[in-house]
Amino acid sequence: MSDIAILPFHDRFLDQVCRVTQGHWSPDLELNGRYLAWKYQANPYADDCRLYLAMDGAEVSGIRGYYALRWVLHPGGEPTTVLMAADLCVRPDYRGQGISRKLIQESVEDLSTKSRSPFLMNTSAGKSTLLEMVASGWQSLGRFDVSDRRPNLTAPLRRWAQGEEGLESLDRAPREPGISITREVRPGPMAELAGRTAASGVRLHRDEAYFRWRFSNPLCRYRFLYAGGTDLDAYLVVQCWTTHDQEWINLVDYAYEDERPLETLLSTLIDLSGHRRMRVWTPTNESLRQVFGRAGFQPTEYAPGVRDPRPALLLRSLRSDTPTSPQPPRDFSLWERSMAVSDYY
Amino acid sequence: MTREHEVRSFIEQLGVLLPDDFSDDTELVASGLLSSLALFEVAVWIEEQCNGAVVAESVDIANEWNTVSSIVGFIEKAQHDAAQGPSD
Repeated sequence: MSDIAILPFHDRFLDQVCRVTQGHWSPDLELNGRYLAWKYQANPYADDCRLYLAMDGAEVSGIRGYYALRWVLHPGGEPTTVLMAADLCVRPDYRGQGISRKLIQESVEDLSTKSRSPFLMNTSAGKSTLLEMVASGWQSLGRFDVSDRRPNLTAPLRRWAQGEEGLESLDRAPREPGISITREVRPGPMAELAGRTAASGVRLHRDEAYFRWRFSNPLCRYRFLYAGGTDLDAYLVVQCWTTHDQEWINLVDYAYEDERPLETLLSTLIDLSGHRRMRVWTPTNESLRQVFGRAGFQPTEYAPGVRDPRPALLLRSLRSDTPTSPQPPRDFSLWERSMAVSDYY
Repeated sequence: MTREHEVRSFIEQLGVLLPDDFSDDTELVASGLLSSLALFEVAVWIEEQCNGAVVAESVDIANEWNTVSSIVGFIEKAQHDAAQGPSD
């Protein structure tokens, strides 16, 4: 352990990184390479992204990544680039030696002098990583509640009879007029709608560059449900993983002019894929919670305490001593709750 | 068996190699002696000893769970608080 050095990523270690992440990203080395390129190099704010390696001589024993997103932290404020901690991963034969803690702590120390981001954020830590991060000085603002929609008991039979995988059930024409479902993101209209209807709290900044990048994640497949014409009335992005849990459809992102077109998109989704399990992060907006409730989504029960599986919002200040650095509100009720804020989806 | 022995015994069961000079005041978290996975197992064990859910985010882990002595203190305080019942 004492010989482990934390160093920045270099292309010559790409093959090793793709192997180290086989249990974390996917078993497919080529797919892992594409995922790394998407997340850290094709990211619209790639200059800010960082990937750290735990090196035992020439051997990569673990990694820790920081990809960038832009956030609006205060009403009317300018978007701020924030580094999102992700991909804490240690090679199985190096586990139990404190390498993850070393990666967490030394990467933060390095970023405190090099990053333009005034603080770090995390939304995808697993249970043990969360403890490790809290022990290393990260603060949890709260947990994201989850709502599920579970189909009736005949649904597995229907899935089997239709032979559909993942999101294929959505590759059929919707019955509702004015609704379309495609595999193609529409960056311009989506950014326009997201900007026009943005909530007043702490939210992800969604511009065209963001939309062009965000849903190209090679570990996931997406479908885009649109209501409206050139100017969208609503959009809904649904996701399925390519490598695991393919029976789940996750409602990753949505925006709407008013609730009616969003309800139409939800009913279209359920009409075509209601036999699948669905999941959404429970919104704080009561009216919107009722929209999902009417569509059959129910709050998920969870084990309290250390085993609580809900994702947490973790923060770590890098430069709290400079009053001009924009700091995020600590009130979790102000924060956006869409899955789009997590690299897991 | 004292509470300190129970904590130490549980940590050893996790396969953590304790140094020869290990004591009840040896740092477990700050020193890296407990890996992430071991820390999680210790947290689950502490929760079981406390007979109730422990919200780990509200615990100052780096201090309150950093030594055998501090873990024992945490558990005894939690048990004492539970015995007192909820306060208004």
